[in-house]
Amino acid sequence: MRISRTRLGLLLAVLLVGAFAAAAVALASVGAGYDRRSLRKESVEPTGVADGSLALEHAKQAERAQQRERELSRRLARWAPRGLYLVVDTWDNRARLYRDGELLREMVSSTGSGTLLRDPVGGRTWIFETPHGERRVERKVRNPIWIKPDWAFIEEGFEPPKSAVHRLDDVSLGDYAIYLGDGYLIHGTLFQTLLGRRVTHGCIRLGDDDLAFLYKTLPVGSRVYLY
Amino acid sequence: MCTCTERALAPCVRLGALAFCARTHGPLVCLLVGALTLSPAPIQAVGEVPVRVRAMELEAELATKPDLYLALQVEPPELEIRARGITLERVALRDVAFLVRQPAWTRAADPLPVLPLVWAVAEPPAGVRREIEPEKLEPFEPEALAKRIAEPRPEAAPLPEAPSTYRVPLGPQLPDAVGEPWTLFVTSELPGTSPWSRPFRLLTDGWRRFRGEPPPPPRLLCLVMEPEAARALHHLMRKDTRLLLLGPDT
Repeated sequence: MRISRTRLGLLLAVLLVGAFAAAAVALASVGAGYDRRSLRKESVEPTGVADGSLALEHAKQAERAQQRERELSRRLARWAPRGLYLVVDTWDNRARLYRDGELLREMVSSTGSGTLLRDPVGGRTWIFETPHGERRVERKVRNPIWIKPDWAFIEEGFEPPKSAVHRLDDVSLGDYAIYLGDGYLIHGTLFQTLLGRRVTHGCIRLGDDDLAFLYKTLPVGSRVYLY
Repeated sequence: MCTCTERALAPCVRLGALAFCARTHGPLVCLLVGALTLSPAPIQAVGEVPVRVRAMELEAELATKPDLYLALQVEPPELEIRARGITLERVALRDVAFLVRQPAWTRAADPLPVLPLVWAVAEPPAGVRREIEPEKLEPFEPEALAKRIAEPRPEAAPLPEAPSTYRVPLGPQLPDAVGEPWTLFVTSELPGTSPWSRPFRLLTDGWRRFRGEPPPPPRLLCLVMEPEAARALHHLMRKDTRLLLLGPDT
């Protein structure tokens, strides 16, 4: 029996398509895909027969829940800041001073670059990140002196000096420094053009006028929120 | 949740325990145990605390610490950066979705988490960090250092841009530390879940498995937002950052 070339070609094409389809089905059957799930609303109403005792129980329950809610509201209010507080947005590099939730002043800042510095000799590493969360103003200093840590020299390609005198720097921090603990400060800068960018080693830099205003306005003990 | 049947049975079980206690431990211990077990049971079982109160309890617990946390309202979708119970910033969301991976032919019952709950970032998303390492360190020279700091330097290499799509593995849910692990998926477009895209996804997933690639996470909590908002959120996903999930009733 002879089969024409056209028929042979057709047969091969069908076989090929079939093989592809079989492979696709086989692959799909071992695969998985995402399904969207909707949240069930969990009923918080007590279930059961609503006899007299249960109704009383439910009423007591509701009363206790209200009492608990009031207590928790009070507790949350106790944690919330009162008076003056500062909020620093480390992404947009803006610092906002609030009094009882009302915005008093918005300032352009510079915050941590997130850069990792590696010491080529000792292998030590530093990450220049501004911390997140709540801090307090520990103290305020006029004409601050910066005691340069090792990374300030290593970053510039120098070995850290042996003498402590060489670590003293009375220029870089500007006119004022507000200490937030763990070596993090709000201070001035020599590089005003870099304000608004993530360029620092973790501290918060402000322009001269904003820094002077903040130094005079924000008392020691005030809360500072960094995010 | 305590049901009526359990409530009816509870006294019998308690009396049985009391009798057993008296026989084995003597009357004094029996009296003590009796005072404890026969005292009125708390009316509000855990499951019956209103959702709103449960959410406040979780937030009050978070607010005791100075750390930031994210409060995610599932319906309507809202994300807030908070600390000490106050909102520092609102992030605009387009959608929030719970996605569960399903095999082609079976439909496993995969329970969704019961809200409210708190998850923690188990591992920060892939890093986008610039690294600096001087080739060598020169001996310290005050003048040379002062000159190097003062001299105009070329524009530093720009910081790597944070991604607008990333996954963040979440830790066990609190306070009970049970439940399946979920992964936070921050994206500007929800992965296709429509019936039309499903065959294609099954096929590509099957091909991935065939090639021995690791499967994607089984459960995704998707936050759909603008790419710029996703990039801004990236740096907040530090290890142990808490995520407070609030249901529609809170």
